[in-house]
Amino acid sequence: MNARDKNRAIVPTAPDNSLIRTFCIIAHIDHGKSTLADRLMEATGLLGERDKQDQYLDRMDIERERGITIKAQTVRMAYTAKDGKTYEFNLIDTPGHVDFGYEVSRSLKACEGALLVVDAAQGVEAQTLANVYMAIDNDLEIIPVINKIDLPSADPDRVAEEIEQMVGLDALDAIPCSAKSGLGMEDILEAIVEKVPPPTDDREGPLRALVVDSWWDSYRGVISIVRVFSGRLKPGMDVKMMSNDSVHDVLSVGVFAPDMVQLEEIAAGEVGYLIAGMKELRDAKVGDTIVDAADPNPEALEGFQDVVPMVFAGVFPTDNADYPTLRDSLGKLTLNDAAVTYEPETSEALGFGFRLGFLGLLHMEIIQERLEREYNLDLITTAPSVMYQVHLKDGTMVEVDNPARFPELGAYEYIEEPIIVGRIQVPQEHVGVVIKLCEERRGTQKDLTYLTETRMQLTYELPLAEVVFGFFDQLKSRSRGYASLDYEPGGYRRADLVRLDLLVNGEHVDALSLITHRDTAFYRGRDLCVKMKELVPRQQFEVAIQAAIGTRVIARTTVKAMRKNVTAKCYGGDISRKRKLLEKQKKGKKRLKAIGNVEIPQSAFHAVLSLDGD
Amino acid sequence: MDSRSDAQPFGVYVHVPYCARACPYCDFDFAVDARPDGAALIGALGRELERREDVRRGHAPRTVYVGGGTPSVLAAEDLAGLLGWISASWDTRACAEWTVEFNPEHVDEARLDAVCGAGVGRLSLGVQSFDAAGLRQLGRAHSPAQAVRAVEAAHARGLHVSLDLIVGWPGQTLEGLRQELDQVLALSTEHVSIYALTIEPGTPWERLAERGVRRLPRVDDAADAISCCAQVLEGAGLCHYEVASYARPGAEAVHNSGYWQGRDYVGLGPSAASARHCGGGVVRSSNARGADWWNGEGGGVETLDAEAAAREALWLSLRLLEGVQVDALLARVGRDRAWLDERTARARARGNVEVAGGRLRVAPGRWLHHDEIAADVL
Repeated sequence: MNARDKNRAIVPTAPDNSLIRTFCIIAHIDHGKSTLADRLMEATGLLGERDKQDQYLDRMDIERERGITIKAQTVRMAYTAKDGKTYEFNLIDTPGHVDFGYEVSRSLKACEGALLVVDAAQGVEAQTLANVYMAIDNDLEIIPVINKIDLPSADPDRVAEEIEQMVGLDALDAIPCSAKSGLGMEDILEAIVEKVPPPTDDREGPLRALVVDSWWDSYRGVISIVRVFSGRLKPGMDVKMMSNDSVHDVLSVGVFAPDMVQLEEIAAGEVGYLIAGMKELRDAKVGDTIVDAADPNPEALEGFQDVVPMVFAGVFPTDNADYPTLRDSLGKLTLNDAAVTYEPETSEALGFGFRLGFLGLLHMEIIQERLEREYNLDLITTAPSVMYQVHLKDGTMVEVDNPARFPELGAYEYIEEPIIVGRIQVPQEHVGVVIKLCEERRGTQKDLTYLTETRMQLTYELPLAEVVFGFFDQLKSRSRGYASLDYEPGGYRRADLVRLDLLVNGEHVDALSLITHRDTAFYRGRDLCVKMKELVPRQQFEVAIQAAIGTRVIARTTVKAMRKNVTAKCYGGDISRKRKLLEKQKKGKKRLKAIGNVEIPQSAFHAVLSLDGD
Repeated sequence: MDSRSDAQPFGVYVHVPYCARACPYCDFDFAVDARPDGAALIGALGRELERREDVRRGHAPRTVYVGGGTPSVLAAEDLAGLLGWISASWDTRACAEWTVEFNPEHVDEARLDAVCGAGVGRLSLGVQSFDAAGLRQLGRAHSPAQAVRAVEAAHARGLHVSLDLIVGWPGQTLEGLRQELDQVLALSTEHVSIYALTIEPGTPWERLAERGVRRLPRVDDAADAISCCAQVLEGAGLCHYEVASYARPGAEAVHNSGYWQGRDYVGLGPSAASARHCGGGVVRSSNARGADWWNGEGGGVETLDAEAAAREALWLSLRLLEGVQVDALLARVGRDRAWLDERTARARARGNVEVAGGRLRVAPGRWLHHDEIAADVL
């Protein structure tokens, strides 16, 4: 019996809703969510010893390596409880990072309960709290779980108190556990049975199913995760998507347990996958409602807000010949990640490429890494920018997300920049440094409250651009890792901004232009020149690096000429060895980008990012 | 082996893998052994000679070079035995150049008898520095005075001397270097090789630097030093004929120039390299290192096709600063002028190489960027 058959044997289908429990796990990044999911699967017999592989649900290599969850996943388990009944558990695993908050919000809509996992040493963090509030808004039953209680630094009593004071949940209910050792798993499973309410959906009503997530599979086409709120979804049915009225033939439905297992139906109250021969991801838009094509009175469920990119960056192939490959790769990659937007961009310095929109910096890093790794591309990513609203003299407004396309000084009346409302949680003793950081980043304090006796929450309005450049890293390092941040868009605000240009031996490098506040332009220009001096390798001739606003140069550094590039040694006629060394050197050079006759490494295009590493 | 290849002039290189002590910068193949067993080495070389089919046994090589390691660490009778074994294995009577590497502290009458008796005409002396502080850093066993006496003793026997100097070591001043060069010139050696100290990965120096015990040489200091050498030595009438080599007119190294001119050579001993040109391509092989060689194991072979061989020939020919006749080079590698123009486009655009009077060569002063040029044309 192979693994799949074995799994098929244990996939439960509850005869009625009273035996179904659908829940997700809410946790801050690194608090052990994916490990806990692994343990629950083991405890319910879904994963055997030989399946052991950390973070089972994180299917992408990049998720495992970084130890994070990017895409939501679902899995169905059978659990025979102390009351003797066997329950159908539907677990939805969700990402923990602030960039992927939208994935969490979708998952919550499909659940009746949530495990709130809090690290016994670190306590409640901002992102956790934001997700808990979201869960409470969605009327979810929340089961607090204190994880990692076997760590020497664990302080479960303090954390329980935090949960009570900050989240408003009864700390007596908090279940201590260790996902690493498996301690407390049964308590958690029993609590799910007892506390998470069964779905109240009507299995005999008209079909209403919500698309929670969709992705592209090269063998099966579009695969969607759906939650059925009413009726039944079966193969052979014709279904209609409410958003575009397209009709599709249901080919297969089923669940992940943890591999794909086909079932006869997904009934109201259940979560599962749907394959309906859709050729394009837009036919399975996340948040859309699926109804029976023959339904005379179709009604849409409440969907999700569209995801809006917050951060933009140019992505260029190091070798211009790779442009078509990059274009095709983006086409494929966005099939799996609808949150990425892209459009063609041309740079004088970098040639043909694309302007990509991301949810945040981590998202940007992940996309770049996936492009390089999964599609074997060698890329240059420019420093990220945000979307500015430029109000021109003629009274019109244009949106500009690329500093290189920013209008010249004097061509506009004023500029508005995007603002975020950030909530920062920090132990009292670190409040000072956090306030200082926010002030440096042009923040406006909106609120300051005590969450517990020792923990505070600061609410600041901050320009998004200031948050994009290293804010998070600074927040972490200045607060010794104790501060955490959650944010949401807060509209646009007028600001005195200028474009700062960088010149290399007199050549304007459009891909290195950045938008900055006039008051900090001088310091930024100086820091950028200093940073570039470190990053530009010495060439055969001297290289001048200048920062300028318009035609006015405000800072300059010089990269001294490389005076010698010769190694005389060529031992005993071992030409092969010497040639291989030279070929290696040549290969390294191919990764450089020529600006005029100056060769610049990819890392230089990130110089702007590391400016605030003070 | 085809007869065309057999007819080409070739060099013989024999590697003596022993040193009395390890120099902290060296990554060549050697074992520390102050009293090596010469007979064992000759026996192993003999077995390699039997094993290999490409060594042109009995033929007359144009040049012979005995390097290391330190060949002179062999006792006089073992050295005589090794040189005798070479003469018995190939016809060395018409050799244009026969060189043996020596450390200054090993130059004595008995060993000089051995080399002169075998027909060796040239010593390559590992002097490295005439500055006691430099010799200490470089881990050399001899004193500046010993180096002077070694050159004089070799000259007294009518031997040509090539002197190796390592420059750019931490703490060396340009003034100190000039004094060393004055000493070199005063000794009137026929040939001088100048190497800027580079610290290779895995050498003791690198480890010492990581622990903060030693400094690494700085590239700007090295540039100053090798430029200074070029200026002083050329000013004294030596010809800077190759990136690292200076010679009195007519005393240019024949064996080493063969590497740059695309000649065949046969290397014996651990880590020794061989090259054979045939059918437009090149077969380059290198022997196993250390114990593997002693166990009779083979090394690596790399076969370059005509295009790769042509690119390599272009790079190598630029090592000689007088450059190369364009027509002769293109005929040798079977390529046309358009190919050459394309391969050298970037180097020419940067002003690093030039074509003048039908010769392609490194532009004046640009030999300091030879690795950059090489990476461009390869």
